[in-house]
Amino acid sequence: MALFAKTKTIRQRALALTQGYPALLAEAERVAAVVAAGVHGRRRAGAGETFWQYRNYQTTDAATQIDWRRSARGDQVFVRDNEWEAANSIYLWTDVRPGMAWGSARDLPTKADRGRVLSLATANLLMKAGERCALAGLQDRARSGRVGYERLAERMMTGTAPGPEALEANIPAHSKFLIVSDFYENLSAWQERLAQLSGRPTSGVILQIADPAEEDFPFTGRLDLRRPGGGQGGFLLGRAETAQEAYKAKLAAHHDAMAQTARRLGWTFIRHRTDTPATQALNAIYQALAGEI
Amino acid sequence: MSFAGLTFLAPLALLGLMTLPLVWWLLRVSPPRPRQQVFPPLEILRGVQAEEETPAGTPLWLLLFRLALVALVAVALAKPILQSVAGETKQRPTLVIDQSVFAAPHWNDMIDAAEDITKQAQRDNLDVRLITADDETTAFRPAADVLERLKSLQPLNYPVALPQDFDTSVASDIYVLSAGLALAETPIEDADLFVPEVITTLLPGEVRETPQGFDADWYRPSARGPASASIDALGANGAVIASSEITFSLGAELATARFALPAQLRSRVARLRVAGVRAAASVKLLDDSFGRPLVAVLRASADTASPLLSEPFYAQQALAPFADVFEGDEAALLALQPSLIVMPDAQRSDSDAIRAWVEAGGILVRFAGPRLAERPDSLLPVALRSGGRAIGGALAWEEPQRLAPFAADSPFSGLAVPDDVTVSKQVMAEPGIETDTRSWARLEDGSPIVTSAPIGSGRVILFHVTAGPDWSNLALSGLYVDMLRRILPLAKGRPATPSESAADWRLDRELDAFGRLRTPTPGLSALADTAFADTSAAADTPAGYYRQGTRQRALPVLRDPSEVVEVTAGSGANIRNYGETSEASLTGKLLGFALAALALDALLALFASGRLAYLRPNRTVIALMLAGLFVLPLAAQAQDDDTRLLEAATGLHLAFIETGDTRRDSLSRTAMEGLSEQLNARTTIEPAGVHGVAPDAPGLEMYPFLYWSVRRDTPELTPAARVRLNAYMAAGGTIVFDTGDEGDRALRAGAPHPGLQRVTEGLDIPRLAEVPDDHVLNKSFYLTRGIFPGRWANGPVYVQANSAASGGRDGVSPVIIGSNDWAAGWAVTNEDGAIVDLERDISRQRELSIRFGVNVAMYALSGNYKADQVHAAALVERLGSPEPQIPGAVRERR
Repeated sequence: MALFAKTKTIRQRALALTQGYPALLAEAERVAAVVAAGVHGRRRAGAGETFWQYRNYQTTDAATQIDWRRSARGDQVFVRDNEWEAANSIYLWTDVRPGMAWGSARDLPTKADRGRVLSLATANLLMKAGERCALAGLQDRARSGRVGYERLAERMMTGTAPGPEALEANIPAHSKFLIVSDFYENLSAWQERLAQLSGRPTSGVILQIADPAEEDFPFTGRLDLRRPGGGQGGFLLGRAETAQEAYKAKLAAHHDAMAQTARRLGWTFIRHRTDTPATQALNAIYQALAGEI
Repeated sequence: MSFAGLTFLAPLALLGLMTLPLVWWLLRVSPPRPRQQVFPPLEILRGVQAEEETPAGTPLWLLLFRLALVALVAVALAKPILQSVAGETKQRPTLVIDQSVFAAPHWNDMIDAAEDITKQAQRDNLDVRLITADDETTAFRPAADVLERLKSLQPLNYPVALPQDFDTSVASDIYVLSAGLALAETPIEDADLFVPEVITTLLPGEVRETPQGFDADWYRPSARGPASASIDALGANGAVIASSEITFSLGAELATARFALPAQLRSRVARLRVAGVRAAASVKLLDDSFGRPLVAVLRASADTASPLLSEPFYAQQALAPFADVFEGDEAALLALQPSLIVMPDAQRSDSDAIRAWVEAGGILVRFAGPRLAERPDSLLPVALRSGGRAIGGALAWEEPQRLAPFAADSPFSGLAVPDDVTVSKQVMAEPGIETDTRSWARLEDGSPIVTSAPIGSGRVILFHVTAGPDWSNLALSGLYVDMLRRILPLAKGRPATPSESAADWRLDRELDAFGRLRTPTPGLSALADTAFADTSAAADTPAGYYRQGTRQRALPVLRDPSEVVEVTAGSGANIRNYGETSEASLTGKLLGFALAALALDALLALFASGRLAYLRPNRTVIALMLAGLFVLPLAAQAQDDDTRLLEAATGLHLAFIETGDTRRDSLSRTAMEGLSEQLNARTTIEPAGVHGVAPDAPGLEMYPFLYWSVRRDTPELTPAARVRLNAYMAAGGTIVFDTGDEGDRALRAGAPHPGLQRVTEGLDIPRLAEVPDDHVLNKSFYLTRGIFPGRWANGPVYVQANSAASGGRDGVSPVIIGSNDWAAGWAVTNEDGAIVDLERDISRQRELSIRFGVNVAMYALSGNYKADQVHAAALVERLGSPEPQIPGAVRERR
């Protein structure tokens, strides 16, 4: 019941977030290999069912491509082109490891919750536009449409969220990704994963979510720091306020390195703090996926 | 161990203070616990070098606070005692306790003082000598033994002198615990003399009857007695019949309580006491010599056929309400030892027996008649002229004479003389000075009509007319009754020394030291008749009522109140009052402080480790909550009352009394709501809603009845609530008390319900009776045939006895009391259905319960309206064709 309630609120929040956005049509790369047939024209000639244009026959065209009915009306020979209709596949992955399931204050959402809301909102917008979405590691096939969205939302809430190894699974080339995490892990681990994905080739958006307390480090006094989710590795900090400056500098360096890596590999890197409105992040994601940046 | 008024009973516990340095050291080395914080970017932080961890010791102020806390506990465990009068006993104490009857009102103070001294001796490890009136051992004993003895010591119910004959040669501190009064003046010397600050004992004196009631003298034996007191006159069953205030003027020893009581009530008074003083010395026992005089009316045995023609009939009728009247011939009556004999003319006699009786103190009331007119005899107050006098009549010029107003020195003074009382025939007294002084009443022309003269210690009173209406219509008037009543107090009650019996007097009821009558301890010998008058209360002849056959006689605690004097202090005596020394154990208070400090310490520890900051944002919230707790309910209450009153005034509301128990109140509310629905559906009573009210709420008069669920723990009412509820009942309201414990009623075994007893105390509740079969409650809407079920159906239901007779309230009983838990039966609403299961004592119990509820509402609203013939037809039909009475199968007809 509690899980159901949570599902509901996250879905509701995601839905509320999408109010006022038009359907999101992901930018497709101009590649010959069509990922899957889609319903929305790409405003250029290609494989599809809808008429797009007649053009003059070129010698590279096969004879069977000639539209004889049109050509018979004049002296020129025309080839009939249909509009290229294709749908892109977008894979979503939200990090829900214990570090993500943490919020510094009671009135702040956990990072994982914010990540889910944003993922779901993005998926909703994409699927409205006819794109196909899937949860990396949870769903084999990208689906579209209303039923697809329902399934995706259900899987997101009820499925056991996979770890980062899901990113290494068999994912079709030229898909897009939305990766949500706090990226506090080793830099090298992420570098390796992103490099692998880029080599497939895929690309997409990286959303880094941070809690304000993690960035500002507002603690004072003696502090017994614990690892989220329990386990060894905690340590005692004598006077926390003295460590603030050094910590902030180190964190900034880490973030910069991460952003550098992402950009170098062709990913869009977006930062988000849980104390800022979710719409800011959704705006950025929308623009990045629509190819407006 | 003691210093500065502070005594430690367990001084070794003070060694605990030596642990303070250890506590100091422990607190220094153990800093407050660090705050725990979950932090995801732990890996990034790991490399960051924080400043070296300072040994965050406990702050100095917290350290001192905790040390004080530990010290407080140590001191508390040492059992400190604070004494206002510093330790006095250095030698072995001797306690002399005044056990006489005067000690009873101050007994608790005396025992407290004795225990204080004994405990002090126990602390100082000294033996104690206890000297009392009924203890033989006068040796020194361990203090613990004396404490035991003190617990069982009781005052005696007769006066005894202070025991003085103990060995004074032993070095000892002597404490005399006195009640302040004694029979003989014996100054106390070389001792600490304890006396009460106020000697509340008042001593009863003589009781005299007056025409209006009686007077009682009270002596104040000490100038330190109360300046005023209230005297209660109690009946034989202990109920207060009347009460009178007495006030002693400055220095006066005597005050008189005047009781104005009608003769019927006066005759019921059995004893007098000072209100609020538990002392046998302040109780006046009244016996046969007080109260209704025994009146004998001489009459011949034959004339019973036509009583109105017999002369004594009128005297007997007039006297019967005020005296015990016996009829018979001379010999039989004299054996009864009457205090007053009425002698009509037909039975006149001047025999030696009668004369002897009069001379011994009897009152003889004679009436004239033809025989006396013919021949005067010797037992007369005045000399008579023979023949008599006829005034008025066919052959006379004169009109029948009226009575003149009574002279001021006459016992009849003040009685109004009606105009229509006339005398047409009388016997005439010989004129003379003697006749003038002996006349108590005269005719308008001055001739005596009532004369009286003392003979021996008795008196003869002669009415110069007949006892019946032959010569005068005086016997038919109210004046006749009044005159005879004025004569009654002259009779000295019943002489308590009857001549014909000299049997021993046996103790019937004993008066204990606290003024309570109790069954006497067995083994007391009887008191000889001749010795009674000289006996005073003592161990083997305790004060109380003594009985000889049907006669009863009281032996007072004191024969002569003037013997009692105040105890005086002689040389070397040190007078002190009770209650001056008091010691207070500080252990509880100190431990309480320590616990409070411990609670505070938890807060301080939070504060010291910086965790209290978390609470800070909520401070305003807390302040608001506190404000809300205290301010809002008051405002809300006033607001509630206003809207409630407006609602109740504009529409009929059923109401129940809020008990403060949420569960019970919600059941009562549902019951009233259910009843409202039923009333709406079935009758023309259309309640607009339901109100829960407090017993002291204003505007109760607007509710037809109040349902009150009383439980065992229901507290007693506040005075304000009492006033409101009494006003409510006086204004015609009905309170339905429901104890709801029919299931347990048998377990109470007839004992009163404690909650109901508390609640109804001070309420103006009339005499109750079980609902009679013809009561309106049985037929105000439904015919219920005397079953009033709720959760149970068998419990008895009480209403005002013969309520139809009480005019002012329209025959509505102010209370309906039962134990059937009606709320359970009525709590059926359309929304929720039945809330409580019933016991199924009878079939269709729910329906019958609701019918009873409807009847109650109808009864409270319409009063005795339904007592009339509304159901006559059905009743007649039912009478005509009696149906077999099957219990439980009750059929109603409307």
